[in-house]
Amino acid sequence: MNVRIRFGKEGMMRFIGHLDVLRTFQKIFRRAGVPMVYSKGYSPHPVMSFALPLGLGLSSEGEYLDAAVEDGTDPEAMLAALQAATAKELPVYALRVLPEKAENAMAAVGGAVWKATLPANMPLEGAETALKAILAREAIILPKKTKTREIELDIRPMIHSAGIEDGAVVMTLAAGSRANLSPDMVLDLIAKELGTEPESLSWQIRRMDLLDHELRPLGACGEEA
Amino acid sequence: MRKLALTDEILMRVEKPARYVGGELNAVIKNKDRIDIRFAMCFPDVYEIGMSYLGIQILYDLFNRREDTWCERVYSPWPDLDAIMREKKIPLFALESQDPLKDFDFLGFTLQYEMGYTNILQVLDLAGIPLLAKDRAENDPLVIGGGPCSYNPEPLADFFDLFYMGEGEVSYGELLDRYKANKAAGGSRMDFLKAAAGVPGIYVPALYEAVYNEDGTLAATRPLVPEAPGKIRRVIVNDLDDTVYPDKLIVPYVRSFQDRVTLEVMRGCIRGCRFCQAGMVYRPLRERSADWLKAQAEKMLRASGYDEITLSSLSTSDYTGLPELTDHLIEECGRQHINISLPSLRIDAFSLDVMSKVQDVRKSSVTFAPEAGTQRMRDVINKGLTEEDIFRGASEAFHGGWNKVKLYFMLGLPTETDEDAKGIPDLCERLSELYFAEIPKEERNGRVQITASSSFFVPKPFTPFQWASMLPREEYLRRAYLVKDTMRAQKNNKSLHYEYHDAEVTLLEGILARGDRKVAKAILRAYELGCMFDAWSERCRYDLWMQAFAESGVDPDFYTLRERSADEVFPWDHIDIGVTKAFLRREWERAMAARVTPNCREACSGCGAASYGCGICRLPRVKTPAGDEKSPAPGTEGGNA
Ligand code: SF4
Ligand code: SF4
Repeated sequence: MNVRIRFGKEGMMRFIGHLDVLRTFQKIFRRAGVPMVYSKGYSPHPVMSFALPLGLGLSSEGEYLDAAVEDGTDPEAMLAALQAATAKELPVYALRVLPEKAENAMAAVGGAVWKATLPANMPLEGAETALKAILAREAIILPKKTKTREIELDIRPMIHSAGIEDGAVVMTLAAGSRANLSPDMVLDLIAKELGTEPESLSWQIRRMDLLDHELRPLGACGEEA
Repeated sequence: MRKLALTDEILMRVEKPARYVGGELNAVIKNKDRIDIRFAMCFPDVYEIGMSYLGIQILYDLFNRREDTWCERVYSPWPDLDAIMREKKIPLFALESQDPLKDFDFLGFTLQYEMGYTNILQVLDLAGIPLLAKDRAENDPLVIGGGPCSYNPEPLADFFDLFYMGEGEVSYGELLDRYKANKAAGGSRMDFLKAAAGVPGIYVPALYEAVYNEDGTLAATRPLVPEAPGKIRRVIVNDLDDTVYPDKLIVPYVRSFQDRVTLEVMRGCIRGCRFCQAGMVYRPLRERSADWLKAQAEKMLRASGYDEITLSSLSTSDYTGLPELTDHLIEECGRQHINISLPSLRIDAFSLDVMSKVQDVRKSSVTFAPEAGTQRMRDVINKGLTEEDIFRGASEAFHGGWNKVKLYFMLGLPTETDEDAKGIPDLCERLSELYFAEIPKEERNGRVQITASSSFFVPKPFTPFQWASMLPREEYLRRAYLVKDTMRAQKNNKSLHYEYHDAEVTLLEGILARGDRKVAKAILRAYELGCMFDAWSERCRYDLWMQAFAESGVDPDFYTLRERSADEVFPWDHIDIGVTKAFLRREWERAMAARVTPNCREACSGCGAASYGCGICRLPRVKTPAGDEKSPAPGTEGGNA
């Protein structure tokens, strides 16, 4: 039986890479006394996977992990046990039992919601005007390096929405294996629009949620605990 | 949210920022306003190494059980962060609170290897604590050292306010109580140090002076005040089942070198190999009961979430409860997908059976530590492993499907000849022949691989070889080349591999291990010249160390190339580890005559440790003392006094 948990990364946890976070979750499941399903083969390991790795240094309240567990009959108790077993800066928010044929988290990801708090030296109106100008463009062609050559890429379709809320840029961008846009690209455009060096700005970037290809939260799949 | 001492920008610039942010599962956070004593415990090496060491976790747990004390951890910042901290003048901090070390009452160092000494200075320096104890102000943290290297504390005496001789469980409580009492009474730093000197196992170097003879050897280490005892006796726990043990190990996020639960099955060793400091300074052997260990294993696995457990001790094969414990663990752990990793057990039918149950025979190797290539040499060092043991074990392993053998040796041992050195390739060759003779072609799974590695012997304090001379650098290398060339000339040389350790680091280690107070100047100078992380051989700057010795007027040869006379006073003679100097000397003489001494289980050799009145010394003997020399009854020598 597969479950999907939604978790966050705060404070020091932002500096723990995703492989280490994965190993940590294996420990948290053990501490919580939740029996995991193991892969076959000579060195069996728990079947567990992340939706999408998060860059080092970024915080999040919308991370997802799918895990195969032996017994999913009491998701509520499982969630409580995981919450008791985790570290403060790696909060577990929700758990759902996935339907039999659900796509795994990694394949399901199609978008991400980001929140980037405006740097102290950036005026609110300036940011708003810049963002409007960017969204008004029909195409935003940027050079993109691939392994072998440099190609041109239109990133405009990858920006699903963007606006200013509570002194932060909140945006929904394409994410996952098909198309993926890093929030830095949009933030750099804003800087350029304002005639500022992108390096001189320090945004605080937080991932708010991950979405599927229909832009529904990844956590909406399955039954809530 | 905890505030971090380093900015995001710095953390993003350094390798493995997880080393510096704390916040691990089971790390202890307390409210510092309700704490009387803040203790920072340091392993002076990089985080992943330090976190692998169980001793700190035991002390951490012990201290944090006290309501008035908050113990935190600190490790050496790696050179990348070290440079940033110096440039930006960021003071070194403890992982849990992220507060500067300067705010602490105590800064404790565990001294596990000599090549970590310059890292102690690095930590003090980055913390803004004066390097020399005499320069520290009333409010500076008290710097205390413990662990195996503290049994010769003298090369570090200038840098430490206190040393703790022995097992932490015994005297830390009283030490901290006296600290609190002194603070409450408005006493000075010196008042506390004098009070501390009266706590069993505590050595306060500033209260002693070292007096030298004209030839540079030591005349005496003398107490300067009445509070300082003439001898400081190591303190030990009598009954290990009676100690606290951390149920909740701190679990690092980044992979450490011991990414598993470590279960300490016993302390001490019965064997008495004459080169081995651990075998002497942790006597007598004290075992934990298998029942205690089973219960502890379960608690620790559950609280940590680790999927692997290992047993730790100096010589786990000698643990009497081993079959019972391994049976239990194999059954319990198998059910829960928990791996068991076994430390190198002595290879015999039992250990091979256990190993075949817990690891992949095709991938794993069997390990022997004969330490020397010939039986004569093994008798000199009192290594009980005979050629017959090795061949029987190897034969059983080959039949069990193993075809990788690792062998550990030492070169440069006292009385060693070229024949002894050549005994190493000879033994390897004969093992490969054994494989071809015993395993028919169709049953072989690939080529047999015999890997020999050698380190150079370093004489250590409190061992029978503490009187021994070392060799010049060129001579070490000549012997290593001799082994290498002889290895190449063997018929089966394609199956044989040989690697040897660095000779330069060996010599440095030798100076620091048996150094006196004068050596401190050279350590300080080496640090000033940029020496750090000397235990990482690719970082060790022998040239800078040699410059440091020259500039501080310390002659390396005085410490390395000199056989000590029988009556020489050693810098560590005022430390009483339980084993007497008379016993060690007797062992030196037996070594020179290539005579073996029975292990503690076969017979008591009257080493002095019976004066602790516990462990193996109190158990009935299986055999009467072997050898022609009359061994004194246990306990008759009662310490060095
Ligand atoms: S077996 Fe020998 S080398 Fe190993 S710990 Fe014991 S005394 Fe030391
Ligand atoms: S007193 Fe005897 S039994 Fe006890 S440690 Fe020494 S030699 Fe071994």
